[in-house]
Amino acid sequence: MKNLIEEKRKERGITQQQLAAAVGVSRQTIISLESGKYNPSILLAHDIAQQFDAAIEEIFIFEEEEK
Amino acid sequence: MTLKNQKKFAVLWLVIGIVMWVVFSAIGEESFQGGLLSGMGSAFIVVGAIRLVRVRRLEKNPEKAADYETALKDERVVYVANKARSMTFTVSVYAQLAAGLIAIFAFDQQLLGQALCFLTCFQCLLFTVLYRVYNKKY
Repeated sequence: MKNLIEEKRKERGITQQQLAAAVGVSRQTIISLESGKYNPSILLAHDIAQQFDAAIEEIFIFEEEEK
Repeated sequence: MTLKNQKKFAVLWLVIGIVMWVVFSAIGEESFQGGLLSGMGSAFIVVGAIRLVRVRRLEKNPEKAADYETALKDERVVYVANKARSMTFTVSVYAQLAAGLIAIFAFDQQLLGQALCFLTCFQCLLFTVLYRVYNKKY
């Protein structure tokens, strides 16, 4: 699933480590999320979206073809 | 598993290893069982010691310990571990079945072959039961 985590993170000047600590995951998870290798759970997606004061769908782009 | 529990398990491994090594070394390494089991005891001692050293190092560094505890609960780590465990089970079932059949037909080891095949059947049955249980629960 595509996402805008890296973009939003850089806009706010936050490092991967800082974002990881804020949402309670490891830096490796943030790396995997940003590269699209791993899809987060709904709870993690919600926590990440909250960090950027945005809705989940503004951060995670779901495309119909992914089904 | 928290650091506290890891420490307990490390000590447990160490104690079991020491007991096994002492008891089975006394039986004598001439016997197959004595040699094999005292060797296992040595392995448990090494594993327990390494884990204990790792836990002690983490306890001395609270920042690293916090990172380690976060990584243990990290959802991606849990997901990867579950995926690896699932694949290991699948491969093991086939490997056990193959080993059991080879033991029976190629090496005429009836008891060993039957034990492996029964173990495989038990694992498949357990999977079926657990699948139904979790299917109802979730």
